[in-house]
Amino acid sequence: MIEKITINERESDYYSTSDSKDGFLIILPEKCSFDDFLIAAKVEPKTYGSVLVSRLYHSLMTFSINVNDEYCKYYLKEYDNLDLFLFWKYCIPFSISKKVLAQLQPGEIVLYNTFSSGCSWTADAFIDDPIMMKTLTEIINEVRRSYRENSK
Amino acid sequence: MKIRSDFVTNSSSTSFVIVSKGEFTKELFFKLVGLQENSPLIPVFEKLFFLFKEKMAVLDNSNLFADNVELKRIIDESLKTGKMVSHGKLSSEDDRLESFFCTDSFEMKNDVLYINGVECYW
Repeated sequence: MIEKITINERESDYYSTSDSKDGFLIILPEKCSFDDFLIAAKVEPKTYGSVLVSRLYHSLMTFSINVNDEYCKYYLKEYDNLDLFLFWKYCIPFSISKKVLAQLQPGEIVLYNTFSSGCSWTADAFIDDPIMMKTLTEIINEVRRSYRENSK
Repeated sequence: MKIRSDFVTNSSSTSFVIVSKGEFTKELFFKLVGLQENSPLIPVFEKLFFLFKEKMAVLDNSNLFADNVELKRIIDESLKTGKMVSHGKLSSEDDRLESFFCTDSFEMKNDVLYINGVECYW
């Protein structure tokens, strides 16, 4: 599950309408390894395909904020629930956070990242291009499906 | 301090070289990239393959790459041994997928195929 966050819905041919809070929310198993990504992506190790998957994995896992963790550690008393926290702390619209949080399963975490801070060019491209986004969604869904199968 | 108030363009192009024993096919390309059957990455590399096919032209000498000693050597040796050598350019002006591979730097090789997309100019 991955959902793109676009704060400013307007579009213009003449100037950028992007916002510094534009980014994405993603659901992944808490203990998700690079090997899980590689298996889900169905690529051979030590190939260009695996290098691409490695960059994708590290940019998603290393540079994103684990918002479940942050909420439970520091904001649990301040906000009644996670979507309120996401709205007031990161300006993430309820329409997006509710859609994502409804998909959250036991053993999974929600990661948040913005394109303006720490998100790599690889992750940015995979989220922005429709073909690449479909691929990324399939990989993430397969990682989640496999995790659920193995934890039964 | 100078402030520029009009458009600032920032385009780039990557020059790529493809050396193959025989025809450059999708199957050979997928094998080189390391894609297994039903890989979710297939649509991404399928589009890259067609971009290569659309933009590549046959190369019969290495003069274009005189500055790059190693690549020039590879091209010269490949031409001598009868391999097919092609080159072309990806652009950052078109869609996002092409822009991504245009600005990426990659070199892949196996027994039948060699692809060099190392040189990237912003």
